[in-house]
Amino acid sequence: MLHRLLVLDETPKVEILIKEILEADGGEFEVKRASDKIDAEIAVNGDKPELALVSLGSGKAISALKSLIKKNICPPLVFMGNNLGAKPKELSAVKAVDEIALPFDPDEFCLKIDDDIFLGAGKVDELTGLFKKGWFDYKMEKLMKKKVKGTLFCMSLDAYSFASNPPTMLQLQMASYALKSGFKDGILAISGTMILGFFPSDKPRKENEKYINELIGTMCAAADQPPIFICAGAAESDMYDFSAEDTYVFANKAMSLSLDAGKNCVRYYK
Amino acid sequence: MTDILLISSSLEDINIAWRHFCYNDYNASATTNINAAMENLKSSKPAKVVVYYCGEDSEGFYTLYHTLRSDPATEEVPLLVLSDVSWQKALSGYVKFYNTCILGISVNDDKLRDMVKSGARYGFEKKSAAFGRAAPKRPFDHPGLKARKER
Repeated sequence: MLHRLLVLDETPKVEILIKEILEADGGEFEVKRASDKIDAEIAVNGDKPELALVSLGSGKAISALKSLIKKNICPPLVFMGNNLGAKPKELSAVKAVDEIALPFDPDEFCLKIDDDIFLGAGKVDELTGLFKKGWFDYKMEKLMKKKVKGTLFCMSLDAYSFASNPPTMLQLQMASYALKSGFKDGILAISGTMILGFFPSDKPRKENEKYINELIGTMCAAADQPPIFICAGAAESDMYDFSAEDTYVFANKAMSLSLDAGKNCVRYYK
Repeated sequence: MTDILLISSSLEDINIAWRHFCYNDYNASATTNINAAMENLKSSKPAKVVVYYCGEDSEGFYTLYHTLRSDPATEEVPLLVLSDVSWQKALSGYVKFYNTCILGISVNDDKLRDMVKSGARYGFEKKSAAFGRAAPKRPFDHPGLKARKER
């Protein structure tokens, strides 16, 4: 999926650098730069950017931003600057999705932009602060593109619902594989990529936790490549008495298990 | 003589820099190909400093940086960027590049020599615990997650 970003800044080439950084992380981006009101309006009307990255160090960029706000065509904003604490007064009432301090760490920048695109599109539940559906697919797509070496663990607390809703190609494959293989107990697998799913259970929470921890331990011990965790589905939505925070706990537990074993290091994608 | 590996995306740019390094007492090799550069750096006699010439039409600097830093064999290699004025602000003001020094192409010979020597000997950045290049943990101070934290 091609994401469209607009950089409001006077610095030449910064859009090329940002595009290269984001694409090295596995995404596909169209990044345009506008340095004044007219360019900014043309870019917003023509390209419909998902985010506008505004450099607070550029007077022209701030004027362009004010003009976009006045005309009510302003995309979701991310402020960038060396001193984010000292924002210009006229921007104090302007709400941004996020702020990025310059100079930024490229890995952190990519994570933030990923999140901000979803925040900007309103795909974050305002009450819980958790990502709505679509997040897992996006992360998965990125991982596949990056060809990350590793054994992929996907944690879902309701593997049936996860495998069928929404029915993406990958999830259909998982579901049919699981059915064909007659798995009853929460492990789904496709072509070397391990997916760990937990089926809904009426058992007490402690028993569930024990079961999940044991499964994670077994999976980590068996993995011959660095395990990668993605939490998905019910693990993100507080269903079945487990929350996304529980998933962090499980992932951390798995990390400590695998690090103790000394052969795998675990990366965790949220 | 300091061993350097000169890289640029443009053959024209590399010719300009190549002459300079050959006439100024460096042991220089050059390539426009990132894979060839990585081969060189992993060889038995690797260059001590990588010099990237970032001319006006250059693209792909970050691809080189990312490739270099992602490979355990080359992640610590000092990288010196000679950048055209059109690139200088973007490269030096926006991104934290590890063990990397960015200079304008108009830098004088003495300063360039000092920087290459110092990079070859000490690197451009001393390792510190504060500088984490490992995959960052997801910050919980993200505005979208604040509501949850405050619940």
